[in-house]
This record gives sequence, structure tokens and C-alpha cells, in this order.
Amino acid sequence: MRNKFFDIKLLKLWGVIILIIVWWLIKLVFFNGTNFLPSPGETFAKVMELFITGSILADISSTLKQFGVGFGIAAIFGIPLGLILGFSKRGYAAFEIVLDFFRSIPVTALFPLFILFFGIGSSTIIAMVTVACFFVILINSAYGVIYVNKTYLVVMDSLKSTWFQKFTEVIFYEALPFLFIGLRVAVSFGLIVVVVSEMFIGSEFGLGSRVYKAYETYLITEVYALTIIIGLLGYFLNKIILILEKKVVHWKGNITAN
Amino acid sequence: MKLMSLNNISKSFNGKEILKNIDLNIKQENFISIFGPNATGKTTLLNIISGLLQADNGAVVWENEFYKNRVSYVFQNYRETLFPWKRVWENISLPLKLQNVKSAECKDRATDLLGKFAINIDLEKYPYQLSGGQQQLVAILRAIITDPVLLLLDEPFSALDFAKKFELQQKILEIWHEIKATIIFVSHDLDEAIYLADEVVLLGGTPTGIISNVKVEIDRPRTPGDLLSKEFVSYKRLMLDNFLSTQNIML
Ligand SMILES: Nc1ncnc2c1ncn2[C@@H]1O[C@H](COP(=O)(O)OP(=O)(O)OP(=O)(O)O)[C@@H](O)[C@H]1O
Ligand SMILES: [Mg+2]
Repeated sequence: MRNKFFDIKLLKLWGVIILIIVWWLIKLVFFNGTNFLPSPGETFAKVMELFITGSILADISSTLKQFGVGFGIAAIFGIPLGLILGFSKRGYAAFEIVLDFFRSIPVTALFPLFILFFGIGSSTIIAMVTVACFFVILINSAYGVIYVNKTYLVVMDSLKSTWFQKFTEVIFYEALPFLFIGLRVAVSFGLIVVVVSEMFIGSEFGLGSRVYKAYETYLITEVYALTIIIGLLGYFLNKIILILEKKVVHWKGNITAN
Repeated sequence: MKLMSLNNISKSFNGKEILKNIDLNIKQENFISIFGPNATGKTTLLNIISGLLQADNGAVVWENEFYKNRVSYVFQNYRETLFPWKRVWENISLPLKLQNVKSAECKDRATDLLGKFAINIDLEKYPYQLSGGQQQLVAILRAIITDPVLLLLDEPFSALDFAKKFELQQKILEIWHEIKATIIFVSHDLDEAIYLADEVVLLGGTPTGIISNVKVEIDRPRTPGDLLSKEFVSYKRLMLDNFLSTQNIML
């Protein structure tokens, strides 16, 4: 119970405060009088303005929707496929090279092909996000199954379980921590891809195209404000997954060693 | 009445012979302790009896094939055998769930089992919220919820303190008395092995064989006071003699 300014919760805020001070100093020392870098005050005022006028809401909802649909499709197919692939050693062996190949291609390289197939529009963005998220979700789900604690499986054998019961009672739960790692990485990938794709496509709404339009029309303060909004979006999406993970995988970090 | 027998069992790992020519008859409803130092192959023997492991030579012969599927096994590393994502009652009743018993009945049966043996553990907790002794009890309850004919216990109390060990020894005798199963109890505590058993099987030598097989005829019910009786001490002396002679040490 020392100084409560050093309480761990408040400490987290210190980092933010220091960042803003440094930003402000850089502005004063190097960029005073130029518009390369607005001051923190101007920028946050702009963020507020974007929300108060509501002009940003359509962009956020468009970006979130495209991200969400892509992420959702990737999870719906990636999780079960990954679990099955991890369960079957032969299946995994058969697809290992193909999977490693596809996940080694940066999705952005697929952009022209996707436009060819899906046209310039929302379908292409969703397809990009789906592919970006799909492989990382699938592979982590498979890892979760592959690295299942073998003792648990022997216990299930001694209890005369079927393989299906092994899957539903043990393997699925053992895979959860890995599965969540996959989801978290996928959130970051997906967000990058949705923003970049929006920039390329120049869609009517979306945070990516909004940033680009602001840049083209030289609204520099708005560029910064939008960047902050995108950052916050990523931060909260990650937090949501983290909170979900803590709730679902409640036993992790709780298993005593003795 | 005979339950099963081990006929000339041998087992090697990576060319090294661990168990050699193990012959043992197990009578129904007997309490058999298996005593032996570390790495003699006690766990290996239980794995073979349970059917998880195949012997290289010899056979496990059951008087009735039907018994073979009614063996319950509490592993030595019991903590790792409870599922941390399942509540206590879900862990205890898992064998029933695997036989497609409905959830509500599973819970009732787990509750009944705790009541029957006057065990006080919160059924809604998760295993990581329990003490070591409680976890061990949960592992044992999971093993007996299916009414086994044979219960295999691998050093179940070795991680517990003196008092808790005493308490659980009484508990296991009570359980044994109640469910009328045969128990094979592995221990490396000679006092415990003698105190609980009708018969103590001493393992030793390289490769491991049966050094001796001693019937313990101390009256039941037994109480901790028996540990100091002349009779108990003479059993202990006999077994120590047998054991130490194979290690070339004389008393
Ligand atoms: N699957 C295995 N592969 C290789 N060696 C094994 C295997 N299982 C057991 N062993 C070896 O066989 C020997 C007997 O092991 P076991 O676990 O049966 O001993 P134990 O009597 O139960 O010992 P402890 O009292 O320490 O539990 C040991 O030397 C062990 O290393
Ligand atoms: Mg052992």
C-alpha cells in the first residue's frame, strides 16, 4: 500500500500520459507552425468532432461489418477444419505443405486475383479478410489438438471412451487456449487487411478509404484522428477476445503445480 | 473365489527387462498391497492388469470375461487425470456420462456417492480449487462410481501429509468394505501396505520378480493402534527381512 499513483491500474495510464506529453513536445520542438503533425489537443478535438457529428459512424460500421463477416466465415470454417485436421495425423501430414505454402503468401499479394473474381467492392474485401484469418485460425486449432496432454487421453482410454467422446470431452477443451491464440492473431491480421483493402478499393465507406480520402484532400489532422480511431478499434477487439478467453479458459494459469 | 490371475508376466522396455515371470492369483474382494522401491515396475504391472499395456510374455487370465470391463484405475499422477474444465461432480460422474447417462442423474449419483461416504467437497468447484487430498478423493470417487469389480490404486496417498494420509486410509477401508470390490493398492510405504492389506506382495530384484507374498491376518476392523501391536511389528520384521535379503543387507 504505497503511493497509489504507482498502483498497477494507474501505472497503465502513465504510459498513455507519457506518450501524449512526448507527442506534444515533438510537435512544439520540431513541427511548430507546420501541419505535418497536429498537437494532441487538436487531434483529440477532431476525434470528438468525428463522433459528435456522427460522420465517422458509417465508416466504423462498414469496416466492422466487413471485418466481422470475413472473420466469422474464417472462424466457422477454420475452427472445425483445424480440429479435425489436428485429430487425424494423416490428414495433417497430407495438407501440411499446402497449408504452409498458403499461409506464407501475404494475402495482399492475392489482391489482383480477388478483384478478378469478386470485382471491385465489398466481396473482395471480405474475401481478403477471410483468407487472412482462415489459415491462422485453422493452423492454431490444429496445433491445439496435436499438443493435447496425452495423460488425459490415457485416462479416457481407461474409462473406455469412444474417439468421439475423447474429442468432445477432452480434445476440444485442450485445444481452446491455442484456438484463442489463433483468434487473437486473426483479429490483428483481419484488421490490417480490411483497412488496406478499403484504401486500395476506395470504397464509399470504411475507415481505410476515409483515411486515404482525408490524406488526398490534405486534411492532415483528420488523418491522425482516424488513425487513432483505427488503433482504438483494434485495441478493443483484442480486449474482447482476451476477456472472452479468460472467461472460457478459466482453468488456464490456475492449474497448480505440486 | 478367484478373480483373476497373472500367469508368468514379463515386460521389457527398449530391450531392458523390467518385469520377469510374475505369477499371482488374486482372490475376489481381497485387499492386496504391492510394495516395492521406485522403478521396480509397479505402475507397469497395474497398466498390464488394466489392459492399457500388453505384456510381452504371459497372460492376464480372468475368471469371468465380464470382469475385465469392470476395472477402475486411479493413476499415480492423479492430479493430471482430473479435467480442469469440469466441475467436481462432472469429473466424478464422467464414467457415467460416457455411458450416456443423463446429466441430471450424473449429478445425483455424484451427490449420493459423497453422502454415502460422508465426504464434504463442494461439487460445483473445479479441481484446481481443491486441496491435494480432496483431488485424490475425487479421483477415487470417479473410479468407484461405476461399481468396479477391481480397483487399482497407484500410490494414492504418497503426496499427503501424515494426518491426511491416516484419514484417507480409513476412508479407503470404508469404501472397500462398502463396495466389496477387490483392491490392488501400490505403495512404497511398508506400514501402509501392511495396515491396509489382506496380502502384501513384495516386489524386488533386477529384473523385478515377486520376493514374497505374505498373508496379513490382523483382525478387522483395524485401527491406527494396530500399527504398534506385536503382531503388526512381526509382520513388518518378516517383510523387511525378505526385502533386505534381496538387497544383500541383513537386519
Ligand atoms: N513407456 C515406457 N517406456 C520406457 N521405459 C518405461 C516405460 N514405462 C516404464 N518404463 C521404465 O520401467 C521401469 C519401471 O517403471 P514403473 O513406472 O513401472 O516403476 P514404478 O515401480 O511404478 O516406480 P515408482 O515407484 O517411481 O512409481 C522404470 O525404469 C521406467 O523408466
Ligand atoms: Mg509408479
